[in-house]
Amino acid sequence: MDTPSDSNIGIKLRPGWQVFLLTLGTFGVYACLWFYSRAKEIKRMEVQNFWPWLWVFVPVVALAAAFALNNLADAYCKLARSKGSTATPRGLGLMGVMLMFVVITFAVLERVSFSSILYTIALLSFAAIMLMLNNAVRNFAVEIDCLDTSGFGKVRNIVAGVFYTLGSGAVSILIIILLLSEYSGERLNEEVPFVSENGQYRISFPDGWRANHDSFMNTDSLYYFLGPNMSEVGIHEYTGLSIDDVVPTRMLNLQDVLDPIDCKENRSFIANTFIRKVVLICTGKELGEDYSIGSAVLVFEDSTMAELYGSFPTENPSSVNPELERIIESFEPLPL
Amino acid sequence: MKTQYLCSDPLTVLFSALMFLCSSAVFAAAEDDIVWELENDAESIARALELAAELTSTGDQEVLEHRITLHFGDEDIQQRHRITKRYNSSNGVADGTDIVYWDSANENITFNEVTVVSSAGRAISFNPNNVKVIDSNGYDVFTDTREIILQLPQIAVGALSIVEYSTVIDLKELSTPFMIQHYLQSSLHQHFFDLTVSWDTRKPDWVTDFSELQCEEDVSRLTCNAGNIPPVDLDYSVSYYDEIPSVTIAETTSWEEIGEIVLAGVEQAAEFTQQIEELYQERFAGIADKPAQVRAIHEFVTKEIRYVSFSEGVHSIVPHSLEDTVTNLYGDCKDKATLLWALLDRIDVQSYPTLISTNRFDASKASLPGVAYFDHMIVCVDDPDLGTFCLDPTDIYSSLEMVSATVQGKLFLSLLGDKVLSGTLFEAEYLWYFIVQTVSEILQDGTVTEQQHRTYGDYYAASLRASAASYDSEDLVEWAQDMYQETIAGDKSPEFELEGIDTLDRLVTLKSDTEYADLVAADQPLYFTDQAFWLRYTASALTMDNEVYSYRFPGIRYVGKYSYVVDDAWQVTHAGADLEYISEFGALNRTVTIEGNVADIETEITVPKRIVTLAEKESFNKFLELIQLESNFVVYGTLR
Repeated sequence: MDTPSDSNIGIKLRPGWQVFLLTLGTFGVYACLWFYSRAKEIKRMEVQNFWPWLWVFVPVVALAAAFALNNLADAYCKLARSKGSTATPRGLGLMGVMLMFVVITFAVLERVSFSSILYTIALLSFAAIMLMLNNAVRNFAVEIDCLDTSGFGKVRNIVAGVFYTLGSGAVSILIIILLLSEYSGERLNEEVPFVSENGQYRISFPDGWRANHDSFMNTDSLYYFLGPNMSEVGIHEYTGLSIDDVVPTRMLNLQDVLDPIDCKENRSFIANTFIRKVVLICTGKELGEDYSIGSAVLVFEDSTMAELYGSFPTENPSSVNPELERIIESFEPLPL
Repeated sequence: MKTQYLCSDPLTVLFSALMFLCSSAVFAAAEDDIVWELENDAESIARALELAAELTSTGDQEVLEHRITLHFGDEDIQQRHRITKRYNSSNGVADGTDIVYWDSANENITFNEVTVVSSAGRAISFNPNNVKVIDSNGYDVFTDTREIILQLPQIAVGALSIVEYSTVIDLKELSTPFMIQHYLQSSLHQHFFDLTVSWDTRKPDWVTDFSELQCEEDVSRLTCNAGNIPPVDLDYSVSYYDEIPSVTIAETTSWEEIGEIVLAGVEQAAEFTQQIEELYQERFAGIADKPAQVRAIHEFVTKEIRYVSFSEGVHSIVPHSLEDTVTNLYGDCKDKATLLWALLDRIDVQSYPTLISTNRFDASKASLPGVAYFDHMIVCVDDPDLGTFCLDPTDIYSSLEMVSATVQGKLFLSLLGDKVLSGTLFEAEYLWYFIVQTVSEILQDGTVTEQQHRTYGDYYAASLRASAASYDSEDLVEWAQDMYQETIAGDKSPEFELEGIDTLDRLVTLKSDTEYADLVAADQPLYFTDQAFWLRYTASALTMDNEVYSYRFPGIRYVGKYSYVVDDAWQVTHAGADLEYISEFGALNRTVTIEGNVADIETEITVPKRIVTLAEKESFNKFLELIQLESNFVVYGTLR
């Protein structure tokens, strides 16, 4: 299997240390600009499984959040004690907020992954600080007005600084989430071109599909897409094999996975070309659940091949998932 | 020696067989009819040496000069050819035998010079005793053409040869208007070609399709010349008569006149005498209906009248009488066609003799009327009760319903008196048509039994009959087994039953029973692979190899029905793909159905005849290659 290189997809990688320093120096403003100006590149990095921005941005947010949280907590406690109040227990409140963000994150990503954990940490840090700040304003608002401004001024300055930095970080996080949702949502409804060393392909996805970066079925996919209800599609490329190697291998694998199994295979030319499209779709039960599993192989005139392989749950065990059929039907080489 | 059968080269077997029939000619030795007036003309030799000094060597052997003079007199037509060649390599020397074509029925030939000039400039004379005359191969029933073979002495690298001969045709003896078609390219590079045509009072017509030939005409003379004519490009599958440029000179006439002249000869020969009437009464009068009578007459003329090309003198044009043919039980194309035509007429079937040019598909190459294009005769039926079809009484392998493949698409002239039809004959859409039906049982112990019926139609059937013709009837099973072994399994000798191989039916069916032990693993999930071997073989044989000329693809129609009955030890899960490949060249369709433990795979392929251009070669071959690739089957199953 051939894997495309960075240069083939035209992504220009920036030095991470520059982004790191600029983000610190501008209290996170550069992070916003950086993400905004490179939105398209980030999307392509998504497809190509490159994640350098996580290692620049998330630690900054996490460290800044931790630092700010500590300062704010100290200031809050000191103030509370000076007023004869006891410190508000942080744990339970934080737990509720944390759960809320976990739910939000999972709702967006629909999958536990390393990236979603990082998002969650960053969001929790920010949320905790916001919670503490909110408590301070609510509990000491009257007292604050009466206090020596210089006494609380330090706290307020700290809070303002932290808020500014983390606010910028929060916007950055939102941008990331928006980028992901944009990529996995509307854009996949359109015809999405994919460029690799061996060819260019087009697929039309239904609503709710997005790209993902994990390995697929324990093999390396060039591209990998996730849909609702655990539907998934991967694209593979082959050189040096024949269709009579690929299809029997798939068929024998499916025979192991699905029991009982019912398969249908079709072969035809694409439009007025000699590019062949071989479609094998099987239905059956996998671990007690009804599934449609399909493979569409484009056999090019130079004998290279590209395969779209998808696994879809199906409600009716005797019929093929219509989304699988539609996606397989849309899988074509570009340009025709 | 056994004729090589279909598996080796299906396209050439029938052709070869027919060529064998048509070349087993009887003719009188004609060496004595050649006049020798040889002289070593010093001027001629000097001219050859001068040319040799001037011209750069091209190829193993080359023509330095070819001069033709042709004079249309009021009493005769005189031709003179002078050909000077040079031999540049040992390969050229090896091909140093010279051949002169001679229409011995109409031409008196005189050799004026046959000289070899050594590289040192020494002239070596030819000994006329070393000449051989043989009959030209093919259906040369109208020209009575002979090959005069000149074994030139002392040909060596650097030598020159000069051959000059003249022919005279007495117009009073010539039964049809004169026509000569000279092909301007040969296997050799020609440095100079020169043609001079003169006439006394009757100016001939002329035409050429060679743009490099420069011609000038005045009131009594036509002169044409060309220089540096390259050798003809050779290729795998070519009708050279359609491809090579020519110049044609002919007496003014019309197709109608040609048709009337030939028809008059045929009608003269077709006189229905008492002997023929008795034959009719004995063999055909008692047959109930007209179609059956036609079939019986066709079989009689085709199979019981032996083909012998005996076309001496006037019989190069006029067939032998029916009585001669029936008495001898042999005849050439036109003798058999005349007998067939007369018998069909006797049962009131409307038909007409038709001349065929077996070498030409392109009617535009015959722009001047002439009989010399034609070398074969068949009979075409156009009857209100029976329909329209043509019968080739020399084709002993094709059914009544099929126009012989050797004449399909060829230039023809139908002899209908003043209603002459000309053009190219009907051509079948699919020359290669066959059906393969196979039932394979996959048994629990891994044994696979196979019952196969292969049915071949029309031309394919004729081709198989031709390939089996040299086998005795008791050896036909061996013939079928050989074919099976070469195509499918070298170590198997199936039981065979053959139908239609020794008749003129449309179909030939070969039925075989074979058993393969341990072909699948008994205790493993089923993964059984098979192939449509016969389809694969046919598609492979028809791939376009041409590199210079377009390819005349003859068309394939194939139906394959393969059934796999699997033992209950397995559950059949899949048996391959439904196919729907549609291309500009044809279609490949397949449906796979699984009922219980039986998988049925039905394939239909239609690739109609067409002219495949060089630009289409790659795509066309890809389609044929795809047919071969998709000839594989796999039956999958899980263990129960």
